[in-house]
Amino acid sequence: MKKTKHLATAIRSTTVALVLFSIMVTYYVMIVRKEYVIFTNPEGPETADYFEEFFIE
Amino acid sequence: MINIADPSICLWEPAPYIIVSGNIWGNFIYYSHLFPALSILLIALFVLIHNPKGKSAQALFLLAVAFTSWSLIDLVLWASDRSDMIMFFWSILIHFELLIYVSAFYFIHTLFKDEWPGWKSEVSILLAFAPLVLFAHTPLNLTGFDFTNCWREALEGPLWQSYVYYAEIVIALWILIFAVVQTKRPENKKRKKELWLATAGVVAFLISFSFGNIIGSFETNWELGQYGLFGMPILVIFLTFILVRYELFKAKIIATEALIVGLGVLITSLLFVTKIENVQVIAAITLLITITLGVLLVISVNKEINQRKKIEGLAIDLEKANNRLKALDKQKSEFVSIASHQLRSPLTAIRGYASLLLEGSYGELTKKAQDPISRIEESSKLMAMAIEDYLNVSRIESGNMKYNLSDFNLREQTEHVCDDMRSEAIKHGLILLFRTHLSSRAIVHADVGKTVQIVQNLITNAIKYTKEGTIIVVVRDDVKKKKVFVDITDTGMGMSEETQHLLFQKFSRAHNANEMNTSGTGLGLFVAEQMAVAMGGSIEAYSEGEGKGSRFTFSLPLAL
Repeated sequence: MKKTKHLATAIRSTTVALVLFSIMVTYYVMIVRKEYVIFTNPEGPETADYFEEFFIE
Repeated sequence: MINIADPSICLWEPAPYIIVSGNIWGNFIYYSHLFPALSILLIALFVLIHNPKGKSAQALFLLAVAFTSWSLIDLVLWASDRSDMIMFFWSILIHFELLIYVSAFYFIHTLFKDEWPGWKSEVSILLAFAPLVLFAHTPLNLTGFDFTNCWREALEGPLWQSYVYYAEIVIALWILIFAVVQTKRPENKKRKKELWLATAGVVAFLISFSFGNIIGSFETNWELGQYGLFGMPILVIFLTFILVRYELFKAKIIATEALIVGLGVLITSLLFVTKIENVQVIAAITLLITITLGVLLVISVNKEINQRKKIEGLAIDLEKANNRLKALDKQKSEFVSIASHQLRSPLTAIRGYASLLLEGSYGELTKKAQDPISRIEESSKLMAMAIEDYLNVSRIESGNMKYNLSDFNLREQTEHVCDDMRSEAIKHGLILLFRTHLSSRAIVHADVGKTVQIVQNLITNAIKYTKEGTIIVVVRDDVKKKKVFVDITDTGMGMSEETQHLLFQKFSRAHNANEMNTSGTGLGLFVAEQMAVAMGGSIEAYSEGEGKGSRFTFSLPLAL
């Protein structure tokens, strides 16, 4: 009984750790590297002109 | 690929306070986010402070933190002018969204079982989070940032639309099924109502929240999606109700406190978010009234709780006193039983020897001696009857009265009693008549001895309390009601309505009873009625008033 409780706590802690890790990775991708696509509408204002767009190797 | 958007063309306003900016048009967004978040956070915080070790209190707090985090992150999405901030917060929103459902499950689980879920449930939760952990930072979560027509929205990808929304519905169903199964367990039967109310509140909130988000995502209409957040105040209302009604979490006054503080914070927040002067005035007045009423409410609830505590304390004392009285009553019955048995043996000897003396077994008695010996015999007879009454009461109260049930003819037995007692009636100058009105054989299933004792008791009473006239004993039946009745009607002293109500109580005698009979114990009718009831019958008394005679009806169920 005590063992299974410890096992459940361990799994819960793993889930929390993985979620925190995922949040950190997302921060790195979105804020640091800004690695996402921006969509513009061809029929709307020429918003594309206001982006600096370049590629990273 | 890196994109840096220049928001100047779109006239976006900067958001130096992260969640406060001019990009949020209309104060409804603040209202829909802050009110539910503050209300649950306050309730959960108060519950946790009052019951910090309670698992369900901890789980409720986790739910409140998850929901508040979700609401604040969502406010960032509405307020921010930076695409990277919007993309980051929207990406991690998916974790908090699932966490809300998981913590709702934790809350219901701990509420029902007072323990955290087992390892199997934890594995399921880990597996539910796995796709989010793997793909939260990829285009599967958000396909991109929509700059179309200056919109500041991320486009939700398959991780939202094909996974997490379905996972939420599955968890909501899991909670519902868990609650149904757990409510049937014997240990939860007493708390059934409060547990169901909590489950109903949680499920109502989750359904409302899911629908708001699903509609927002698929219709790309996030204004409509805001209404889903009002599921949380519904849960708060349910929680408040069960906190007050059932003292859930062993909390007493905290619901009222939390509610008042919540209202205060809400109205205060309105002062800051609204730009219309009149609304600020109204909000300030409302705040003042709320605080005043709130303080009064808290005082009155406090008073009520203290009074309830006092009443509960008195009830416990009363129960103790009652138990003590029962114990004393039992001891008294035992004492009467022992004392009566001790008295009966010497009395039998007195009666026996008096009888033998009168019969001349010890030689002829002088006329002078005959009278006192007769009195000794008569008095010992009365005393024996009184002792028999005390013993019967003692047996009835201790539950030791034995009944030997058999089928017999009530008409025949009653007729025999009448025949035996006729001479006694004549001695008192009375006429004792016996009549029958029967359509059956009047067979009853009862104790013959006890039945005869009851009829004897009723006829003896009729003789004792009738100066002159007639006593009529009628045996009749009612086949439809399956009953046989013995009516003993006399032309005696009768009784008032008040006396009729007290007649079958222990030691109860009519106020004018001593005029005609001084030897009664006031136990005869009590014993007779108890015995009649024990055999499935009854005794009823009727009189038109004092001096107008009485009628006693003894009934037993018809056996054949």
